[in-house]
Parts: sequence; structure tokens; C-alpha cells
Amino acid sequence: MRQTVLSVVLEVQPASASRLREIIRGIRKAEETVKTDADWYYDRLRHGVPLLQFMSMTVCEDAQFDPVLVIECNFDGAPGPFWAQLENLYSKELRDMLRCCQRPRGKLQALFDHVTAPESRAAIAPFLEAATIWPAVFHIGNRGLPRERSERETALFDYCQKRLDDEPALRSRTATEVHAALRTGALAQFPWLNKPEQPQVSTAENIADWANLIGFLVLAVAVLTVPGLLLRSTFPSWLPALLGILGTVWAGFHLNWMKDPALPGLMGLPNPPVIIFGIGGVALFGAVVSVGADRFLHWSCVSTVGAMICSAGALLAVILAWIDVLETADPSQTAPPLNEQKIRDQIASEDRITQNHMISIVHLKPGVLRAILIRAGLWGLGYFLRLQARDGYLASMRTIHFAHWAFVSNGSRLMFHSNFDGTWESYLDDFIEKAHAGLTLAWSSGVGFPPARFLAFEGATHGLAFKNWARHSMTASQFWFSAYRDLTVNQIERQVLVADGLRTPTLPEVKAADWARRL
Amino acid sequence: MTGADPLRPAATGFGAKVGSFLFAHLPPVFGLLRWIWPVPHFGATWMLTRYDDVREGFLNDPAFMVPYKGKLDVIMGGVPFFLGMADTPEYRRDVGAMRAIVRPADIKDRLIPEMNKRAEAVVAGANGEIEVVDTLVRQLTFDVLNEYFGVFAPPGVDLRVWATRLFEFQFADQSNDPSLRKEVDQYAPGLLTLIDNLIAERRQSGADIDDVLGRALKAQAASPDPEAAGYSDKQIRSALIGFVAGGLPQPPMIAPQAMEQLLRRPDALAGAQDAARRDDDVALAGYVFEALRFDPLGPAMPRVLVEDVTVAQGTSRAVTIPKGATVYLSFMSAMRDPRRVADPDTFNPKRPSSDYIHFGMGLHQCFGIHINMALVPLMLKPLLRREGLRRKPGPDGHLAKRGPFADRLVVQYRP
Amino acid sequence: MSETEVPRVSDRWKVAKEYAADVQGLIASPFADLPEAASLFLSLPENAGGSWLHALRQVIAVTPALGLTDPSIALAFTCSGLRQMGMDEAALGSFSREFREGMHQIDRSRRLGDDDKTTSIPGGPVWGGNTFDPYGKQATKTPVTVHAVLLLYAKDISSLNGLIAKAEHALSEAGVIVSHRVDIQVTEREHFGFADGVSQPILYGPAIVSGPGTESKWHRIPAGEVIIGQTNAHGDLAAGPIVAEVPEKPTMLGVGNAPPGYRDLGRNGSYLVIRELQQDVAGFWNHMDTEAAALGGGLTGEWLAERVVGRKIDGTGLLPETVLHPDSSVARTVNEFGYFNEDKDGLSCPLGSHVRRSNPRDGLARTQDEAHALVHSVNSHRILRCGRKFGPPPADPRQQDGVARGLLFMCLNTDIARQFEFVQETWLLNPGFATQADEVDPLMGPKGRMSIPACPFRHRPKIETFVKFAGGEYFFLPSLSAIDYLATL
Repeated sequence: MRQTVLSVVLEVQPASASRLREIIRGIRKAEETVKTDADWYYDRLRHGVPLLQFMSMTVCEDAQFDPVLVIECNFDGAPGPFWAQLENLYSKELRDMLRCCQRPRGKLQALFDHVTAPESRAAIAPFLEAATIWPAVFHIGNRGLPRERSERETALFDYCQKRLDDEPALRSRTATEVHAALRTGALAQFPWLNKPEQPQVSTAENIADWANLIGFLVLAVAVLTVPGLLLRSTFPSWLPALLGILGTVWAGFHLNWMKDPALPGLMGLPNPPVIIFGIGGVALFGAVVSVGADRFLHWSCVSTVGAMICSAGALLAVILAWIDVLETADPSQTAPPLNEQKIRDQIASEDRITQNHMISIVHLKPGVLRAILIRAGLWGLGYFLRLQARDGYLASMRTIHFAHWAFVSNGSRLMFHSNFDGTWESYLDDFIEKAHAGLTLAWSSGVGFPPARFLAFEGATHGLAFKNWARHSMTASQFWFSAYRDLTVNQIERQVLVADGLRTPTLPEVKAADWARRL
Repeated sequence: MTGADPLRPAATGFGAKVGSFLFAHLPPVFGLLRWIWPVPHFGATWMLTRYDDVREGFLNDPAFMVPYKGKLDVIMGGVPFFLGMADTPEYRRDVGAMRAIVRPADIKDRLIPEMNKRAEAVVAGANGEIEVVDTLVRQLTFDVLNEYFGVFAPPGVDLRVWATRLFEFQFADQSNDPSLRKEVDQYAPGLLTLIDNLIAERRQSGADIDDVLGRALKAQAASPDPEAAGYSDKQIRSALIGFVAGGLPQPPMIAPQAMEQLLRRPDALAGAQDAARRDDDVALAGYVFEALRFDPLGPAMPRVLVEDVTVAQGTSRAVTIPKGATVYLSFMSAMRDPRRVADPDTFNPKRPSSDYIHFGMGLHQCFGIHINMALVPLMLKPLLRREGLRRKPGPDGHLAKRGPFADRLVVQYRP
Repeated sequence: MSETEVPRVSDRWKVAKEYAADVQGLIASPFADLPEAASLFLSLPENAGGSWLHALRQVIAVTPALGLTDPSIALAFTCSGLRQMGMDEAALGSFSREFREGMHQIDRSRRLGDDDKTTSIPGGPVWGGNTFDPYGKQATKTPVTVHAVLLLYAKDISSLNGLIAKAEHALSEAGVIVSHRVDIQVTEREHFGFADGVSQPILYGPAIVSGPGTESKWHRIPAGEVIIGQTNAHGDLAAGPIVAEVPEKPTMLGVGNAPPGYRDLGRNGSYLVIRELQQDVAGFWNHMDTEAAALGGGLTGEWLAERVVGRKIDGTGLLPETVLHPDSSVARTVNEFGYFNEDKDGLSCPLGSHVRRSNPRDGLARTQDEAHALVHSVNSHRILRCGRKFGPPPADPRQQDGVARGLLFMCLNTDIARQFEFVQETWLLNPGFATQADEVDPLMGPKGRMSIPACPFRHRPKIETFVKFAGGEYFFLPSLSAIDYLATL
């Protein structure tokens, strides 16, 4: 079951920023006051846009840029139907919001004019589709679980809890019998238990996930080895070998790592010094093979492979050294200017329901190497997470419903969105204590980020500095919606297990006992 | 004239057969058009097939004018009726006048209980087998709503026939069939006189009956300038003719079509029956209008452009349609457009309202939308509550259509 | 189990000599040898300055961490107190946000669960700092405004009374009022009858001299978690307040970690969290009896209460019989255990019990590999508790006697948000804690269901609230040199 994570980012006419905020707050107010169901807010949106899981609308200010309007959407299925549902509900408000935005140049202009013209009745969805910014990397906690299914399974879960509370006689039965008793009753109320569900990750998605990651790795290897291949095909073998060795030696001279206490390894890999030594060795080995095979054995094929290996090793070494040089000289903002009022607004909006939301936009550090690495890094991280984090776990934590990073302002800024369980403090502490590498990799290219090493080390481990930096880059959203305000990622998965158990006609005692523990 | 067939005899011949075959197989044709030729046209006749474009056509009422005025004048004897108007002060006055006396509260307080009672009586009296189109739905519609409007036919007049003919003339007579016109030239003045008489009689009798006619006359009496308030005799007459001839023939089209679609889908039928038995009218309406998405009132609504219009401006399919062109807005196609409707081929009774364009949109959205949304499911409800609901074996058990009209569908159930 | 089996904090580690004269004794020891104590909550006059500290010093002195002395004294200030004494806004701004805003700030109150009427005493909490809040909405005002707390500890009641009399006299001379007073004692059991104070973190680091038996992976935390200026669990120096140097006004304050032009006010100090919690003992036990009976199966009120608390009444961990083997060492049975290997599903100690929520140890791990890392992570959120009980122990725990009693909860930490508030919000009051749904701490949280894992399926009694918030605030517990500085204000 496909889920989509996207955002629309539009520059706002500065003078209209406060009007825009008012329109967005107006939507929020309407949703929070018009109640059709006794104990639920946001009924109109929940029923009108059944595909929607999380959504935020925020006007983000920045000292260097005009304000931007960010509409972040996380929903089931393809974008088209989602936008149609949203437009049907907020057609007037969305059009008024767009009218507060700057007229885009380029191919969006005609569409924008059409949609925002006075008295315009043109569909807004095509413009929002065309203005969509796709995430550079995203993560979904309950992958392949549409909201419609979670809602069904919530009702089933509550039904089971109620029966267990109301029928003490069940306590004297075996787990198999308890399962049978619950299933018999549940089938009448939940006939869908007899129908198969769509798989959370379809075969096509599975193949695509693997193909993407493998393709990415192949491309990365190709990029690193092609210089060797090209040089070897035009020049004698000593030239690529010499260039490779020179590069490696340059890298060796510029690396600062030996002065620092050894960094820990990452994800089962040895620590950076060992890796760097290894890479240097590979370059040297390639050079020797290339020249040796050519001069003494006249095996030009092997010589070419040697040149490619040498090229890859030397390039990696140069890149690492270059990063090290950059990182050593990188200024980091130890005391970001914290606007107390802004932070108060954020804190006041937090911890109202089970989940919280954060939106942050940071400037990116300059330089061609950084520009390439941050894109390649996020790209690869995305493919890696698609395979690695299918069960929703990032390291040992499973608290994120939907999160994504995207480049905005023509690639000069990096935007981060997250919809997570628990408090902001606990969310950041989780990252600081358990998953700082991935976070540092994604954010260390941000201007002012606490000092990082080799893109993925340190950085986010500087707890207070990192929290201050993150806070100052954030904005309190004027509108934020969660489709299920009391479900955690864990609870949604727990309900899946309970429902799966009830789909099975009979469970043997061991499995039934395991199933009953989820209740 | 009681007992006359409300529908005219079916067209015959090869052309008619091809036409009815195509009519029954429109969805795949629309699917193809949406994909490769989203704005097809033949001469001055255009069609919009994508959701966004159809929506734009409906909403852009200043440019997409309703083409109904000419024939309406024939029916109404030259008195303007809001269905034929642009968004003018007169339009707002007339619609406002009717909204003030056709009140939302009536649906809950009056129409729903009445419909429930009568529908149950019809089904209970049918003893295990019933024809859905005429015996059930048409009868219920005319009985319940005419009583509400205060429109009663004198002996010898079958309003079902008159209204259906006038409806066909107004909305489904693209070829201007002279034989139909002949009938209309008889029924239209007949209906005018009938309503005029009703107004006169009511005023004379001084009876205080709380129906639409009664309320209109009261409003008229209370107003210093009835014409400016929208309650002159002629305005009242036009409105009542509009309701009877424009509104009442529609439920007998859509309710049987919904039933047919449910009968084709055992799961959906079971769900609808469950909702009916649980008295969950919201869920039941979900089933009925979702069923209708697969066979709505018609394939498209016509509009005439009063200026050049660029449809889908800013997209690659943008096309400028010249002033004067007739544009068909295919809401049937729009409701199956996967670009805007999630899983359009799946029967899902819990769709959001954005997935439906059953009643049009914007200025000329069906005046009776709320009445229809509430009452159409209830016409089928007593039948759906019955055990053993099934098609009658043989051809009668499948919905037959005559032109765009549902003709006959017989179902059986355990009495 | 007798009290002596629980190793005292002071037996395990000491503050190193070069720090001990500056660090307040309360950080190193809860003064368990001085069973009688009183907490005097003080209200200062307008523009109090620091002179009242001079007056106080004439009669009693704040105790350093040099060793046990009788009597012992601790002193701490609220933000409003420091402002009242004339500390400038720039210096106040260098304190942590939590301290500056106070415990009753409207959003904090919501997040700590204090805005819930059912978890506070009727009429709402009585005392707090009533901190001035220039941003956002006004903090909730409490009837009693507290500017500082003076904690007095003595061996017996008469010497304590003498101490109080001396202090009160000196304070009233200086115009300082004791606006709220809570007499507190060391008792073997807290009022519900459970052995208390069993699980405490063990500090380590350059400022600490570790005693024997302190290698425990379960409880070791760096000194910077409690002492400002030391390295904390995130590897940073625990941040504290600083004051600008004034050339014409020489000060005893060291430079410490302060940048040039500043003196380090926070170094060797800590933040002290105090919450006065009233306990309805009879209500609790009668409710436990009723609910246990409703569960059936011959379960008793004691059984249920032990699951609510998460320990046995004698303080032993609720662990499977196989773990509580008679041969295992006392230390292990008392406190050296994890949940991941012993009781992952909470069949012995319920996942949502108070003790397990307060310190989940490795219980939140998914795999064995993670278990170790998680202990480290969990230990980044520990607090050093030093609370005491007030009111007499109940004669009959099931008999309502109308006497006010409870716990004066006190704890020390350097990052209130990451330590005390994290425990309260992310563990105790988190409805999704440890894969649970819509359940909060059964002891401290508002009333609700509590799942007790069992075979074939969980019990889920409804637990009411019998611990109620009566007042509290965040305090700055300065070093002795910082107190000297404050006296010069």
C-alpha cells in the first residue's frame, strides 16, 4: 500500500505574511470549533480527507529569505485524489492562501495566474501538484498501513479490551480458547477479518526498494572508478597510478584524524582511522596492480581494473581528507540567537496530544563537495532506510510516524519535518543518545550545526548545543493535524498483531499465548 | 389517462441499438478519452472528461451558461425560471424565495418520516415481489413530494406522465424529436393551467395547509410587492412546475440504477442491507450514492459558452474552446477519474464528498440535493431490510432502460 | 529486610576533597543519620538584597560536603527569590529555561500533569515561586510565594526545634518570613508502607571519589548529572548560570567554566526540584482491596499495591522466582537487575508500574544488543532523590484518620528538562510508555486503567489517584562560594 510524503513550499509576499497566518489559523479555528461528533475535533477534515494521516501548514520566517508557506502532507495513496479531497474542503482558503504568495516565475506562472486570478474558479489541485517538493529522504513508521486500516483495527482492539474487561470467566480458559471466543464475537462485528489485507510492502515495492539501493551503490562505484578507466584508456598505466598515489598522499597529509581521540565505529564498520588506512591501502594496491600488470605481465585488462581500484581508493581518500579540512575550519554556531517568544509559541503548541510535530529549515553550507555529498548522502540514506527501517525502527526507537527532509529555496536550504510520538525533548534525546549518526549525516551540512566529524560522527552528540540549534531553526506551525491523536507507532503495530491473530481461525496454545500478551 | 406509460416507446432500429450499447459501455470509452483525448470535440460540440475540467466547467458559471432557457420558456409559458438564469439578482431572488419555503428542517421533520412510512407500506403490501422503477420509486416520489408541494392532479390527469415527458423534452431531447414536441405542446399548457387552478382554488378556499404552495401564498400575502419578493402567482407557478417536472422524474431514474448496481455486487448489497437493518441511514446513503457512481443520472450535462474559455490553463492539455460552443460536462467520467478519485473502480461506501458530482456543482447545483440525498436511500430501505432479497429470475430481474430512463427492474424477497 | 541492607549513597561515593568545601552537603548525602528535619519555605521582602544571608550566617551555616555534621543545613533559591534579591536580568537569563519559568508556568504545568484537577489537592497547589513570566501567558499563581528554602536537619527533635527557633529569629530580624513549613522525617517506609529510597544513581567523575561496589552498570551516572560544571551524560559540561565581572566589586566566585568577563555562579551547584505530595493512605489501601477483590482469583490488596508500585513492600524487586534465588547476593536482589532478560513482558513487574516507569533500565530494549545501549540512554535521565516524608505514619493504613501526610519529594539534577521533567513526562505520564496504550503511572498519574500482564491475559484494574500535588518549585542549590556571592547582592 503506497503512502506519499510531500510538501509544497511557496514564497510569500512579505507584507501578506500575517494575513496568510490568519487564514491558516482561521482554518484551524473552524476545525476546532465545528464539532459534528461528540468527542472529536477536526471532524470535517478527518471525514473529508480520509486519505490524510498528518498535515501541517506553516509560515516560516528567515532573516535571509522572504517568508515561505510550507504545506506538509503525509497521506495514503497517490497525490491526485488527496489534493482533490483537500481542495473540496478548503477551496476558498487555499486560493486565498495562494494569493498571499509571490507569483512564481517559469512554468508554474501560467497555472498560478489561472488559479489566483480574481473570481477564479479553476482547480487548485493542479497547481499544488506542480509546486510539490519531493523529499530528499523520508521515513514512515507504519509503512503500508493506511489510516482506514488502522481505524478499523483500533475499533477491533477496543472491542477485544472491552470483552476481556467484561468477561472474567475467560480468565479460566486457555489462550487458545480465549482467542477462539474473541474471534467468534469479532467476526460478526468485523467481517473484514475474513478478507485478506493488502501486504504492507508489495512485491513491486520490494523489488523497487532493492533495485534502487543496488542501483545507487553501482552508480557510486561507477563515479569513483570512471576516472581511472578514462585515464587508463588514454594514457600509459603509470599516470593514473601516479595521480592516485599523489592524491592519497595529499589526503594523508591533510587528515586531522590522528590528532583526535579515535572515533567509534558505525553500524558494524570499523572506526574512521582504520577505514582511512584501508582506503589508502586500496589505492596503493590498485596502483601497483595497474602498473605491474601493464609493465611486467602485459595484461591490459587487469591493469585497467587496477587503475579503477586505484581511482576509487584515491578519490575516497581525497574526499575524506577534503571533508576533514572543511570540518576542521567550519564555524559552528555555539549560541544561536534564540527568540524566546518564538520558542514559547512552539512549547505552547507542543504536548497537546500523543504526537508532536516539528518543522525546521536550515541554511546549507557552501561548496561543491558539500552540495554533492549532502544530496548523494540523503539519496542513499533514503534507499537504505526503505529496506532497513520497514518495521518503523530507527536504531532502537520507533516513535516516528512520518518524517522527511527536502531541499528548498533552490537547494540552498534544507527543510525537516517530523511527526513523532512523545515530547520534543525525548525525541531529540532519543536521537542524541541512540541514532545520532543518521541525524548528523543529514544535518551536518546545515550552517551552524554543532561540529561534526566525517559527516556522521559527533555533531548531534553535543546535546545542549544541538537542541538549541534545532530549536532556533524551528517554527510553530499555524496548523497541524493528526488523524489519530492517541495512537503511537507502537500501538498501531500492536493492533496489527492483534488483528492478524484474529484473522487466523485457530491458534495453537504457544502462539495464542504470545498473541494474548499483546492485549 | 391513468395507467399510461410514463416512458415513451423505446426507439428501434440499428442506430438505436448501437446507441444503447454505447450508452451501456461508456465507462471504458471515457477511460480512454481521459487518457488520450481529455477534451474531445466534434464541430461545435465539446466534452470535458477529466475531473478537474468538469469541476471547472460547473464552477465557472459566468462562462459556462446553462442552455435551458429556450425549452424552459416553452414549458413555463415564457415566465423565467431560475434554472435558466445566469447569476443575476433575479436568480438570487427566486432561489432565495424558494429556499425560504422549502426548508431544510422539513426533511427531518416531515419528509423522512413520511417516506419511511409509505415505502414500508408499499413493500409490505407487495407480497414478495416488486417492480422497483414504477411501483416503488416513481409512485413514492410523486405521492410524497407532491403532497409536500401541494400539487394535486385532478381526476384523469397522470402527473407522472406529464412530468416525465416535460423532463425528457428539457434534458434528454438533444435531437428535438417532433413527436415529443407534439406531446409537450399538449402537456405544458395543461400543467400551467393545472397549477394556476390550484393557486386560485387554494386562495379561494382560504384553507391553511402547511405545504410549499400554502407557504408561498402566505409569503405573497405578507409581502407589499410579491413580484419583488419572488412570490407572484407566476413565480410560484414556475417554481412548482420546475419542482414537479424537473425534480420528480429523477429519483425513478437513479434509485433503480443504484439497486441494480448493488445487485451486481453481493458484498456491497450485504453491506447496504446491514446498514438498512441497523437503521444507519448515513451508511446506507453511502452505499446508494457509491452504487450510483457506477451508473449516475446521466453521462454529462450540457453548457453553452458565452465567451472563449481556456480550459485547464497552465497544463499541457490546455485548450481554448470558442464562444458559442456546446460543452458537455461528463460528471460520469469525472467520478471515475483516477487522477482525483482514489481507486475509482473499487466500490467504497465511505468515500468523501469530493468523489461525487451527482448533483452538479456551483450555481446550478441541483435544488433538491438535500431532499434527494435524504429520500432516495429511504425509498430502497424497506426493500433492503427484507431477507432473501434477489433478482427475479429472467430478464425482468435485470434493470432495463429506455433511452436514458430506467424502465423496469423486478426483485423478490421473503415476504 | 532491614534498613542496613540498603547501601547508603554516602557509603558509595564521596565528593573529592578539592570540591567538597564548596559543594553543599545535600548533594553528597541526604543526611539519613539526622532523622529530624524541617523545610522552611521563605518569602523575602521587596528589594531584599543579600544582607539577610549575612544575618542568617550569624546563627547557622550551610553545610559543605566534607562529611557528616550535626546539625546540617541546605539552602536553595527560586528564580523569583533571586530576582527579589536584586540579581540582574542578564544573570537570571543565564539560568536554565525551566528554572526561569518555574514549575507552575502554564505549559509546564500541563506537561507535568499538574493542571489536572484530580492529581492536585482540592483548590490547587498551595505554594510556588510565582515567577514573573515576561513571555506568553501568565503562570498560574499559587497563594503562597516561595523565594527560598532552608532545609534544617538534626539528630533529634529538640535540637531541631532549637535550630528552627534560631533561624526564624534571625530571618524575621531581616524581614524574611517563613511562609510555609513542612516538618520531614527519615522513616524506614514511606506512608503506604513500602521500603523507599532503594534505587539511587551512583556518581562518578573527576569530582567524585568512588567507594567499593560502585561499578554497577545499572546506576552509574557522570557527576555532571548532579553537579553543575562537571561533565554530564551527553559529554558536555553541565551548564549553569554566570554573572558579569564588576571590576570595582571583587568577588569570591571563581572563573570556572565562565567565558572571559564572567564569573561562574553555577559551578558546584545544582538544581533542586521540590514537590509536596499528599498521600491518602486509607483511600489507597481500601481502593487496592476493592479493586483486587474485583479482579477475583483470591488476589489481595497487597498483591495489587505491589504491582502498582513495582516492588514488594519490603523493597525487593518484583522479579521472577528464578532471579530471586536465595544464594544471590543481597545487592543483586535489591537493585542490580535489568528487565530485558529477567522480565521482558512484565509478567512479574508490570510494564506500567511506578518503579518500572521511573527507571525502565533495559526494559525498553527490543534486542539483547540494544539492552546495553539502552541502559546508557536511560541513565541519561536519572535524578538524585533526597526527599523525606511528612506527617506521622498511619496507625492503621486502612483507617481514615484525617491527618495530612505525604512525601516532600526532592531531587537534584543539572538539566531539569532532560532529567526530572523527562522522567515525569516521557516515562511516568506517557500514555504510550513501553507499548502500552492510554495508561499512565498508576501511583502519580490521573485515574485510569493499568495493565498487569498475566496468563492467559492481562488484568486491567481501574486505579484512582491517591497522591496529590500540594505545591512545588524549581530551586537553584548554589555552591557555598555562590552563596557568599549572593550575600553581596
